[in-house]
Amino acid sequence: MISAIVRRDVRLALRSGGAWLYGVFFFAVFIALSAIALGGSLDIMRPLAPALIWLAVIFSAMLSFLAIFQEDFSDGNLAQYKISDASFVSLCAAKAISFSLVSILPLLLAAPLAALVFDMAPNVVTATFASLALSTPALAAYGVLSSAILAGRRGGGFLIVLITTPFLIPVLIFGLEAIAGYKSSGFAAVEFRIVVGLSLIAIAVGLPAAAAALNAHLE
Amino acid sequence: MINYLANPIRFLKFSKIATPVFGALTILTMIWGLYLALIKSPPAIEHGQAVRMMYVHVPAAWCAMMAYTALTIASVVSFIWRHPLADSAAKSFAVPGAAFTFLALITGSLWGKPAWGTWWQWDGRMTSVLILFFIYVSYLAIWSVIPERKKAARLAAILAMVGFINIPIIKFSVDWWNTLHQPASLSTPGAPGMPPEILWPLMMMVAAYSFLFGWLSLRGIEADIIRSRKARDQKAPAAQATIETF
Repeated sequence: MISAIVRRDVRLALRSGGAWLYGVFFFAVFIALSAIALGGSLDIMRPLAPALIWLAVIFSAMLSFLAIFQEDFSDGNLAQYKISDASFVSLCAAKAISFSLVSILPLLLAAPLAALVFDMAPNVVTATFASLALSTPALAAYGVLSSAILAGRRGGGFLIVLITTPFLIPVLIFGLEAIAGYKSSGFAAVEFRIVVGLSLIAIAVGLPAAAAALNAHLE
Repeated sequence: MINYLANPIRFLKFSKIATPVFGALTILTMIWGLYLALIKSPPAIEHGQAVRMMYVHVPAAWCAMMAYTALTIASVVSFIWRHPLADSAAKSFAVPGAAFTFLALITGSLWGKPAWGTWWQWDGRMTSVLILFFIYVSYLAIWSVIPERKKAARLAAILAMVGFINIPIIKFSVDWWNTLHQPASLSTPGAPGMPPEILWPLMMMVAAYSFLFGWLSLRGIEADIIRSRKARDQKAPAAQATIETF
């Protein structure tokens, strides 16, 4: 069932006329705006580049959170899942996977391009990519949770940012620490393990909580 | 006791007595505690007069965490047993909790300037308390944006339970990250402890803040019970049926 939902969501995204690309455009705009705001000097931007890329990814992800359940909720698909004896936890897991594929994967692929713009050192690019990739499960799980809480709420854009921020702050902190740790000890840096741990906690806590939130909407 | 009070009518009877008692205790301990803290207690050797900030800062921080713990317990009760009184309680713990968190941040910042020479430092303790404040705000936001009371209560309870991860992080942040904020000086075994002329005013202020928290929450629960009863008693407006004639 999980793979069926993932396939359906990916197909829907591909046939949406490029709506999945908006996140990447937002990412590019964010990078461009920060470069303009910082005056465009590479010497100033190079040390800040991992943080800027992380922020661009987090904001872009947060803005796409609301859409995770929006359509399924309004067109009655969610009620169908409920009737069809399927577990909401596996629905949430499927949604987390399809969100990672549709919304976060393009950002991950765009990150090395942003690294070119900032003239980052190759090992920093590797570390940035790795820390983003390892925290993708956390982003997706908390995204699914906040989207499930606010399902069917119109104009929840600011609110969803407010709700997810507390949960994403630790991920942001350790994601950036992992990049710093990579310089001295490579992938053995303890921060990478913390990032993986945060992702696992997010999956363990976020997905069942999201399933409970969906149930609360439908009772 | 809890079972007995679970009935809203019995609870209102109980709170009719308990609320003024908490209010009176708050005022008494607050006046006595402030007198001890601001006038009677000696200035500290290292911090000077600025140490008096501790008597308003530490209790606020403790109460902020206590309020969140109480909020989580009420949320668990509400989530499992779907008890409406637990919803009222959770909601009423959140407002003073958020206020205490804000107070802890503000007083901490005011104390930080003379003690550390900076208004703010992005260390583990301060960042995690700031996150706690954000969690309180988003918890209250859920209540305010979702009009159906039962649904709002359930969704807010889920958010509160997930957000509880932050409480141990706050508690142990001073041990995990060795930073500016001093580690726990009261609850750590083997810590030097405090001389009684500082400990007593602090304990008095902790009692005052806790009574204040109890007072505000009781009043919040009372108001919430009355409000929801009013909403229930209000008859739904009759549907307007008009027949258009051509």
